[in-house]
Amino acid sequence: MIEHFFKPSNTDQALNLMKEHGSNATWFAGGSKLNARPSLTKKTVAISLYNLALESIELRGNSLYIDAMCRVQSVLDNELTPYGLKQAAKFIYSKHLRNQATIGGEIAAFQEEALLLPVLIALKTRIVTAEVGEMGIEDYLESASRGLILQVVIPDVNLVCLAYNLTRSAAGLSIINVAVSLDQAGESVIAIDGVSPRRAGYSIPVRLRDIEAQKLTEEQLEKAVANSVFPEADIRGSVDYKQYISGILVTDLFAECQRLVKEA
Amino acid sequence: MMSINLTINDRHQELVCRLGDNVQTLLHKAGFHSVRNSDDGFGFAGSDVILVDGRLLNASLLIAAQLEGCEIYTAESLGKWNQLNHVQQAMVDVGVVQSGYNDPAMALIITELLKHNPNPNRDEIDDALTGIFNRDTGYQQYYEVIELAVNRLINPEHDKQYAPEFRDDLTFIGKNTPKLDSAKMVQAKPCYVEDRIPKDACVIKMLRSPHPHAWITHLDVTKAEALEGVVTVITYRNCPDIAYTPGGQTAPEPSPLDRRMFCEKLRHVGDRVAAVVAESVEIAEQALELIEVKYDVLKPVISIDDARAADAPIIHNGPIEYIVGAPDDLDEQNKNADIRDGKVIINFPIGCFPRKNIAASIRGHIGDLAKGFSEADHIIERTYESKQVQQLPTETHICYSYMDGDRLVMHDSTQVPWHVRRQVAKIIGIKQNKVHIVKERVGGGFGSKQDILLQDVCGWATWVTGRGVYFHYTREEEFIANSSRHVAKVHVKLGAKKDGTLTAIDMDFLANTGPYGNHALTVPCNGPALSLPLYPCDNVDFRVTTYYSNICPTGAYQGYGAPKGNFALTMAMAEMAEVLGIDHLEMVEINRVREGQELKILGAIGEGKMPATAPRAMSCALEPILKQGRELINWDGEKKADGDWRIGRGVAIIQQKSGIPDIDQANCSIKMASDGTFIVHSGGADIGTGLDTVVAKLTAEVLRCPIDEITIHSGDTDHAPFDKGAYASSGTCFSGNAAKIAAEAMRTKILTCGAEMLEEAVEDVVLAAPGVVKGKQGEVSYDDIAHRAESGTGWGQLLTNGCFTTSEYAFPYGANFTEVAVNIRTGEIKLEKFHALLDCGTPINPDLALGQIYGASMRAIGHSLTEELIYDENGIPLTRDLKSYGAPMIGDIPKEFKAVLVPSDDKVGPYGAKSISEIGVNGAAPAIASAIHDACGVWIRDWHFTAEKVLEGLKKL
Repeated sequence: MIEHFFKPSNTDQALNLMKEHGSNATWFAGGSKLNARPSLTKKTVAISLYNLALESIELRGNSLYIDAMCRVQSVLDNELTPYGLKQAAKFIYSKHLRNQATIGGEIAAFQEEALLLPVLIALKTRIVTAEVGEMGIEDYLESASRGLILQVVIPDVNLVCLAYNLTRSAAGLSIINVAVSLDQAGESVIAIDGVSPRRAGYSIPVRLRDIEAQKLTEEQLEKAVANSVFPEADIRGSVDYKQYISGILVTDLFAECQRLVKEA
Repeated sequence: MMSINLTINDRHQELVCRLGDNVQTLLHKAGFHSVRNSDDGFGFAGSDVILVDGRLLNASLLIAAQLEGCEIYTAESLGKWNQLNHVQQAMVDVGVVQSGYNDPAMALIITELLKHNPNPNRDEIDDALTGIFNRDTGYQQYYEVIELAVNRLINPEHDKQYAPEFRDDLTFIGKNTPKLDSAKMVQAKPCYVEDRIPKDACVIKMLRSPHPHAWITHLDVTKAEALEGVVTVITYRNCPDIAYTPGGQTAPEPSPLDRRMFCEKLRHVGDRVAAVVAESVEIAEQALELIEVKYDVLKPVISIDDARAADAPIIHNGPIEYIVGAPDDLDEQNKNADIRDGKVIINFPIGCFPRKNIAASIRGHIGDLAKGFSEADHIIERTYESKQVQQLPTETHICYSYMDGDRLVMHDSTQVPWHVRRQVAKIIGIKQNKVHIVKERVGGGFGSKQDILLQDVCGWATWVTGRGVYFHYTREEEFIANSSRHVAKVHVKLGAKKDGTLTAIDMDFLANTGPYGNHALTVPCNGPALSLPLYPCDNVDFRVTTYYSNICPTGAYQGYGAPKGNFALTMAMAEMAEVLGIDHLEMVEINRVREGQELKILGAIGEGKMPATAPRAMSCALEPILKQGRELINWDGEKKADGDWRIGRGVAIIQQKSGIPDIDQANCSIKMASDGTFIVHSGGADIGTGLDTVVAKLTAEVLRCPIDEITIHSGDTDHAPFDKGAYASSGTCFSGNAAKIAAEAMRTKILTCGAEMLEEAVEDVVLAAPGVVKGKQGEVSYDDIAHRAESGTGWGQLLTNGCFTTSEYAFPYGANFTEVAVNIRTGEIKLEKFHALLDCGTPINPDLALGQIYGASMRAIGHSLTEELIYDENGIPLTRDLKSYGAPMIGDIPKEFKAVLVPSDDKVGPYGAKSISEIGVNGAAPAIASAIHDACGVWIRDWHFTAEKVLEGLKKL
């Protein structure tokens, strides 16, 4: 149970508190995961980010700067937010959860389902942390101890990007979560979650770099994706199903992205 | 402890608590009853929603420290004392408040939606309601609630009737009347068991088996008992040695008495190992950690095939005893009995053979099956399977008991207060007059609260300690230690002539009851009993065999066997129609039951007692139902493909009962108060269905007085007469008829007394509204009659009773029509249209009846498409929360969802009424599955229907 709840007013104070309390402490944003039964924190010290003034969304040039404490619902409601990210925000089905969860928390938390990650990868998102500054989101996710996120940067809000989350019921478990982006030069990013063995209970989306680099027909793309992912059978579905449907979903999103790029 | 300063509902408050305290617990304890708990902090159900600084959040996902300086509103902020706000009033007026457990949360969400968006469209409504799980009503009527509330924001006088009304000849029956308890519920006034628990009550936490099948080889609770704040620990060593069935059925139960409060042998994941009774939840949970237990893990039996195997482990190997009708080979059966296993007592023969893992079995037949098949032009044989699903009441199981002198008082969320009293008294070893059960408002039952799952332990804990004790299931316990729907495997063989006429039906119904045999005979029996009579055929044979296993327990669930039997028979009919080249609906029309028809097969099926004669379908509106249904769904219309999407339509006809003739009974007493108003003591247990309102309306109709002058006191074993309980769709017909009989007796007394006061002959006086006796010369009010009755020269207070039993059946009928879109590339299934047309005789509360149909349909749609209890290969349940289980939300309801009441006039039910509650779950599975086939040519013969199964059927995987 949380026994100490600190509300530092600047980043330095926050980092010092973390240094002071070490392994007993946790960053505390909205609390939708730390307080939830399945992922209830065992830490006793919470360092709240509430007073760090990290709640604005700002467009600079073509880049969108989203402060880490912005609620997912606020991101969804903001007219500057790219369509793909809005789609993904709704993958968190409950509006109450979207009201509580922050974009920083969604990226930093080790979750069984990290519903925003594929689209953020496809959008080539950059992460600004208090400890090391700016880095790519994939590097951030691979880092052993995920640092304190201050800002999430979408480099190009005009990048065509679409996302799809396959579930069996509206609020059910994510079976496959896919995002695809495509730029005017034909460069694509394909990120897919639910198709790789979970590491210690949490998932990191797979980036299909080999396939991104190829120019494939729809039929070839379907097969290539199905052959490139290695899911596990579980209550969501069999290996065959997940491979097959991954191919279909990626191909459909890719085709739609191509259409949108042409129209742009 | 810290002080948290905040504003709650515009009042500054200082909460003294720990920083990490859960906000839902904190607020509920502080008296904000609207902040309820349905899922222990999983953030799925939303019963705990509050407004924090302008944002709707789940209180159970917040800790106290986050509230410092916040402005909070709970649902208690809506409206004023006994004055509902526009949304609450619309909820009451549309009739959407059923069990009501999280309706205050719903009211808060909708009020907040309309504050920011005074005219939301469907997408906006659907998004606003994503955070709340509503199991009762299927969400559909909330669109009407919002429309009504929106219009009242513009014009407070606006009114609109959303449900049709029936029976112009009657005043209250067939009219839309607010449910009596709905305002109390939607305002979150204390009315559930959890609202009655005092702060000093002890709590029970249960150590449960992690293994599906095991012996306890070592159990040491001394460290737990020594922990300060632990009151006692109950195990198999210090519990009563009484065999009972958890099934809350009329005694003697047609279920084996195969459960002991605690047993050395554990039969499912979640089975009881030890109960800690402690002064707080935290202490109880600490104590659980201190219990030392070792297990000898046995091979589990998971499937029906496992249970039937020649070398299958025996689930119940204790001594078998019979109350009557012991078989000749009982000694042989008991040769290797192990007393540690616990006794199995069988009240009377039900085909129970524990050494073969058979909990119950039966066979019935009419005609000559071989002859029937020989007359057939075509014969098909198919096997259909259904999975284990859960009722998911938003209020998890709960009871609270305490001692009042030498009496045990229990506040309970139950469907069967009298059966609870009988069982608790028997298990504790006391007489029934020493036990008082108070049924509180029930936050959803659907059958799961028909069983005795907590009350035995809770009552015993209070009895041996003298302390007030409560026991409240977690959501996980709902999944692993509750009753659920039986697993079934049904083999059907049909014979039919070329023109579609059935010549023979053979049904072999195999069921998996799990560890205990509660309802093991009656639930599976209702598979054939509620499907075969839909298609009367002269040559029918059926067998029912229910197997024990080590899955989590099953028991009563709405539909009670009918959904499984109906799935198998309807699908076989649809498959036969395809073979014969006949439209499925035509095949149904050719073979369906007709009004007045004798239902011969039901003469061969009993629920522990065989009927004296085969019943008849005394009323049946299937003809207009199928005609309307065909038109509404555009059955014969074009099914235009759109890209990879294919359209298909399906149909299933359905039936249920309205109580169990010759077995069940209901009673009611009415007393006239001193001013001519009435207190009605109904035995019936209103579990959110509106039974108390039914009783009030029936009484008012007979006595011609305002409903407001009738108060219902129900479901209380001290203060109301016996009633079988809320099951078998018996409420309206049985409990309602008992009230009508009591009211008619009161009418006779009032007329006699009124005539005397008017000095006229009884035959010259009549009752007239509002509450007067009118004669040829004058009239006298009920008030005057009551005053005279209670005077020193009066007749005594007017008191009457009504008892209802019957040998006659009142069958409700109906049909589900569906339209699905199936994507042949992805396998996805979209439920485009779902129309439920039901004949419940005279609908007594039309708006509530519609809500029941929507709710039941949505539960059945969930079971068909998304819900399933899943186990791993070792028998460990994997779906222990609402999300992984696949609980449906507003985003899962059909695009076009319609409930239609098609009346008939029944001779058994009060004013022609029949039941409504259960029938709605019986048809969704076959209607959807046959539509899937119509769309893409794939027969899916096992619940539930997934994209993966479609793709397999299309050979894409």
